[in-house]
Amino acid sequence: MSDVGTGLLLGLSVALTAQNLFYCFAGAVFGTLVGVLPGVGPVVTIALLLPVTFTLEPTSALIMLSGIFYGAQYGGSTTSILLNMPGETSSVITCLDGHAMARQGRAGAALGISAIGSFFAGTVATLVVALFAPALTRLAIAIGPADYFSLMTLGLVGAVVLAQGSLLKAIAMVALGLLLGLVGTDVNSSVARFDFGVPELTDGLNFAVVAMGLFGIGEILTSLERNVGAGHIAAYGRVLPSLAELRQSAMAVLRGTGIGTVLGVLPGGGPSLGAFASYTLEKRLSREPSRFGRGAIEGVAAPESANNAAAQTSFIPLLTLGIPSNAVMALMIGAMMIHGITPGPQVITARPDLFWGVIASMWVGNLMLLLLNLPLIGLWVRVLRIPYRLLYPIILLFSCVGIYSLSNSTVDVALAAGFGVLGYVLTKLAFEPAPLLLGFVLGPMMEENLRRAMIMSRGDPSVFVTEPVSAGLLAAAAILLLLTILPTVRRGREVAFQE
Amino acid sequence: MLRHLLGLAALLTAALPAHAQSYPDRPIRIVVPFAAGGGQDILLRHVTPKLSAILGQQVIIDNRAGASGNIGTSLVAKAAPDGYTLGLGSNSTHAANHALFKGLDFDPIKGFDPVIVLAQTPLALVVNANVPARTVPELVAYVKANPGKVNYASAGVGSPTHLSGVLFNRVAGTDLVHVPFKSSAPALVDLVAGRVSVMFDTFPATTSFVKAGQLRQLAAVGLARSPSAPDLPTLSEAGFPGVETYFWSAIFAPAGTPQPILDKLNRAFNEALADREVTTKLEELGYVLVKDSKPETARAFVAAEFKKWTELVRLADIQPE
Repeated sequence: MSDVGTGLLLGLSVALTAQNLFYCFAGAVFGTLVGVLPGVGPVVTIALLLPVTFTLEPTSALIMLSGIFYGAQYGGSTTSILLNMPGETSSVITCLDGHAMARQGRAGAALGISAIGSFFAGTVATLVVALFAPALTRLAIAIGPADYFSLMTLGLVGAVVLAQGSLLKAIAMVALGLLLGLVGTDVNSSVARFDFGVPELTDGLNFAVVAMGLFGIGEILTSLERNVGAGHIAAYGRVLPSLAELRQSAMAVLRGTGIGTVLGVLPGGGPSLGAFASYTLEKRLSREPSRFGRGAIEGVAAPESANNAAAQTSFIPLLTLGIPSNAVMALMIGAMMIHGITPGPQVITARPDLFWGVIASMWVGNLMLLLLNLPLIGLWVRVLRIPYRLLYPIILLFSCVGIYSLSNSTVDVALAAGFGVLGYVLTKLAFEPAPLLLGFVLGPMMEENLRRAMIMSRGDPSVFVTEPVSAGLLAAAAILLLLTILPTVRRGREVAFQE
Repeated sequence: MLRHLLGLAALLTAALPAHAQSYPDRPIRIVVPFAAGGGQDILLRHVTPKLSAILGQQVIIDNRAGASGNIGTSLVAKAAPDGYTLGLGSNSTHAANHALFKGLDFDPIKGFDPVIVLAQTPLALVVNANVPARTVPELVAYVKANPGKVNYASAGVGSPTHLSGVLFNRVAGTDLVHVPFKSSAPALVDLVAGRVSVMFDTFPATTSFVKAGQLRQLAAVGLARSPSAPDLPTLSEAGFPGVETYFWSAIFAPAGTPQPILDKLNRAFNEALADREVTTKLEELGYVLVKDSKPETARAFVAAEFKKWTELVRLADIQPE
């Protein structure tokens, strides 16, 4: 404990120097900006800024890059709420209730709770990183392929729960998502599946491309049927959530923080999974699940807290093991190596200033983001006054630039357009895109871990029930499934969901 | 009349392939067919600032990742052979991929003029610290005593980390079971956790785990010992010759690039690599730089590597896609 105390003091002394405060602020601002711009994600931004960080102190460089990463988590929710356009993969789920709130003229409350929830989650998760990083590292190592598979199974069952309307339609969407996830090179045989001879498809479909198309472009196409001359929403109410709304969100923020903190530690889990999981949980626990998808403030508070908590704790495998849990972290390793620091278990002892400096800067950065974002809300909601005919071409342009920048590929832009059309058709037929996206995210990880577990067990499927963690997760999935499909529950469900 | 003649001369000059004397008179782009921040990308990023200074023109890195490097490499093969578009190539893009993928739209040998081989990065044979083996013969005995039970991880089918294991099994007569991962990092998690016991991976990726007591390096894989672990024997020295796999990085120009430009680029790269600061930093990171590589030696090297990896992929019985 005293180690942690001295560590945090050292960290604060590093993070609070004028130079590092500046880079932390620069990172937070950059991150907010790229989070707000649809498609332009932290991966691209960090890749572009890598050469700039050459000249910086390694600690300053990492502080700035981290700021971009969690700043993007804040900014990403803005376009999700205002325009149904997820700026970040982890804020896809925020679209569901966030945009519904915006339509009801409660955009300010939604943006406010997402900033407050994010700040709370960021503070807690930063403390968790400081206190428990070594212990959580053991958790990240201990989770094996069988456990991952079972976790993904639980997630897929959750995807069905997530859906609003017909159970059958939800399952169909999950299945479609799983199929889309099959596109790309098979890890075990290096066979390229469903690539139709297009080299760009051998790496699989990019999540951002699918999400931007289904949600953002699909939303624009649907909106074209409405009056394009008018502004988006006439009234937009108060700028901050009311006391009642805050009280309503409190538990959701707490639970979202908890889920995000744990899932963020797992390599491959990260902010997106945390957001999905916490939303599912809130809906499951709610006394009126029918409010979800129609502007429930918990449906914004939980995933926004979860994705920010996970964004902080996903630094644990990076800082303690040198192992990246996502593409952004992989770039951070690159940034460390450029500065001649070999990432790995020795960073804590060899470079305590860097380890604790980055951790302390996370909290400082989160505070800056809160102070930065709350006043911006008033500005953002004004975006909704811009008439469609001006707003949408601008958004489409930014989206195309953003999608192209993902991997400098025009194929991605064409794919996003295709998914936009699919999103429009699905909306018309009352199929929801959220379960599809969850299937798409979980499918490839599930398959990879299933097959890896089977290779390691030499083809014996009993590992999934003999490994305790895996068995527990599968049991939870079974219970959740039963609750969902039990006839009585279903009857209640259908009544609740009647349009 | 004279003016017309002069104009014509100017036109002719402009139409000629870029002149080595005036080359380079605009920025040079180097396509890296891998993601920014990866091992290959970092190597080049350490060299380009110095290179820009030597050539007097900005050298820009253009990351075109995807399809195991095939997308970016194909782009370079199709570029104008004027010295302004170059590409970073590796044992995957210019050797193994041709055997791993059917229908590539570039020829790794005929489609390019090699400029220089920059670095070769050797692999280490590493085991989880709980594996009761301190030497390679002890490991071989352990694997043979537990037939069909010992796993080795790789960073992907067809990568050096995979094919080293295939070769090792053949040379040592062992039956290590291959567990493929998407990249080195998740494979290392399972190696540290002990779910897999053995891996062939680079020194930079594994050394910090060795220092923390979680992994143990048993041998260097390749022709010579690694400068970062000079006490570690090579596999040949340990009694198992014939496993010579390593990562390498080279610069390629599209085929048909004028020789004077290739020579000028080669000299500039060699000068940049010889810079004390560049060398120190890259060697700290575990790259083994190639001294004084020439376009001709680079060409012979790539041809030999192409043959070797094609053979290895065949040996591993991977069907081309």
